[in-house]
Amino acid sequence: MSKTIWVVAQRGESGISRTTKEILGKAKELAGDGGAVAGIYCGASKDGVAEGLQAAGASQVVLMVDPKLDTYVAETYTSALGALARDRKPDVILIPGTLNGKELAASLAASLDGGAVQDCTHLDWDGDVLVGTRAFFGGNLTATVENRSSGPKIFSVKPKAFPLPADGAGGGGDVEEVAPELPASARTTVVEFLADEGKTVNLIDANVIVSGGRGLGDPEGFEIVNDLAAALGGAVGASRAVVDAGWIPYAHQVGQTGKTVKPKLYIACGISGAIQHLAGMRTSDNIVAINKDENAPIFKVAHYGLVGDVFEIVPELTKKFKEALQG
Amino acid sequence: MKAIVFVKEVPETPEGVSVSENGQVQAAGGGNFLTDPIDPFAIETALQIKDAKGGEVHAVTAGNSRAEKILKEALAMGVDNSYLVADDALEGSDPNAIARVLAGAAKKIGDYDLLVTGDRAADDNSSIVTAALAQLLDIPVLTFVSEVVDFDADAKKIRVVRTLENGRQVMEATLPAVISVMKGIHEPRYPSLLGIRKASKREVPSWSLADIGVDPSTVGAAGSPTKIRSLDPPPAPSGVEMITGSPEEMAATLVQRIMDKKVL
Repeated sequence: MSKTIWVVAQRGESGISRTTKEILGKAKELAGDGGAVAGIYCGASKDGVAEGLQAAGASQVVLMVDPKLDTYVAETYTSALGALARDRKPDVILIPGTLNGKELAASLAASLDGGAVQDCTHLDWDGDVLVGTRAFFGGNLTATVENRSSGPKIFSVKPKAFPLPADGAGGGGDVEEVAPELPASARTTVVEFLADEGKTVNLIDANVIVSGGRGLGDPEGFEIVNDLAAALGGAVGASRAVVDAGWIPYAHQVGQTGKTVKPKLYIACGISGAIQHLAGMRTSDNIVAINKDENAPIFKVAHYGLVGDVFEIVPELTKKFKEALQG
Repeated sequence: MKAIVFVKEVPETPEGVSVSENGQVQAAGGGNFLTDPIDPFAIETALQIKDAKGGEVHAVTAGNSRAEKILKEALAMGVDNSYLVADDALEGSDPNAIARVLAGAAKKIGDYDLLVTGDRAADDNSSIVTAALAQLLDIPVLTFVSEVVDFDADAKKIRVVRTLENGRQVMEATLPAVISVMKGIHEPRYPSLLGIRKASKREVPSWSLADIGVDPSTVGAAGSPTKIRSLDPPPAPSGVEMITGSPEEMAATLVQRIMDKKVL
């Protein structure tokens, strides 16, 4: 069985995003022997894109470069990608499952008269049918969903669902530039982008994440979490409860409605472990839970559990990790 | 200003939720269905625009006669009219197909400036209907809206803030447009007692697929491009090592474990 799989590329901080690379790795497996993995890019500049896509496994690259594609907008991207898909009829289109990626998946599916399956964490062939697995009801259930669209089968894929392919996994195939089909006039415009707090919170790529929840008592309680994260060179995460309460910006939120993370070490401080939080971090390599309630659900997914006062335990951890890492 | 809010009933809890052979989500023993918790935020958004600019707000859902209950709740909150699309052919519809039904209902109501939905349904969490509606009706879409900055029905423009992973994006679109709103955009109002009493006496018109010009073969189990095969509990956890002692002892043991595993 050989298939043509498209992966819609998103830019990251340098080159294409990590999630795009993860999906390219999976696409290669899904395409099968003799199948094709095409990296499809829309943007205003093609700098480094083709090389990045090829290095992560793309056997073909299509670049649609136009100033009107500078920032993602549903209408322009759907127009460009929809026209290309109608023309070339790929079997499958995979899209990084960011908020914009999910909007694009739904929009593109409707424009191609088919359907999208969102936020997939597994993708597998069942005979000739591609089946996605996704969290349902905030992660309380896992849904297995088949896509039987007559045209391209569209799936958005959760970040960190698949491992990064080894560098140089590709490809080195054809790079083609295609003039995008764009709407005559723009009905939607981006006025401005206000980045969170002047610095990027890179939870997705962090090897270590220290997260805080309600158990920290108040916004000032995050100081002990910040200190431990700094000692470990890690990022700071948070539960939805404290983001909703305004203690810390949304960019830090881990969970079904925030970011899905898979660091080597995840330390949850004063987080009880609502199912929607667990959905975003349960596949981390090593999970440490610190909570005063020994019955907190977070201990069910943790590898190491510490029952006690976060304000006593976390500063001790900071001190001892500092000593161990210096020694 | 004419707004249409699309609402949805969802099972009260995930306990006992399953999927039928044709892909229809069902609650144990026909269990309780409620208004999706995100929907009052969508209704409030439309009502606040109406309060400021005048006009009318309509609520629509697709399903079966059971969903009349949530449309009466929308009336009690203050929407002017509610409409139910109920048809046996809808059984097993996926979100992609439901978007076709709601697009049909929007055309039937007609002459709208703004369509509003929640940003993700509490049960399927898919976020499909909003962007699909935009395509089917050929209007702009703005999803994950956390603030409506300006709504100008005369100049036919809306300006919103979208909250994305790494910041806030200010966007503008021409009207008519469809938006999805996030929880917390406004505090939803409580229905007044008078509102509840009045709503209980209102008739909710029910439309069939034929009434709204939607071909039954494009919806339901057979017409849906995707299908839920199964709903299962999440994978079982691996087991935890509880570390005990004083805070200092616990910290020492944990640091040892992590250093031994060469994680850092």
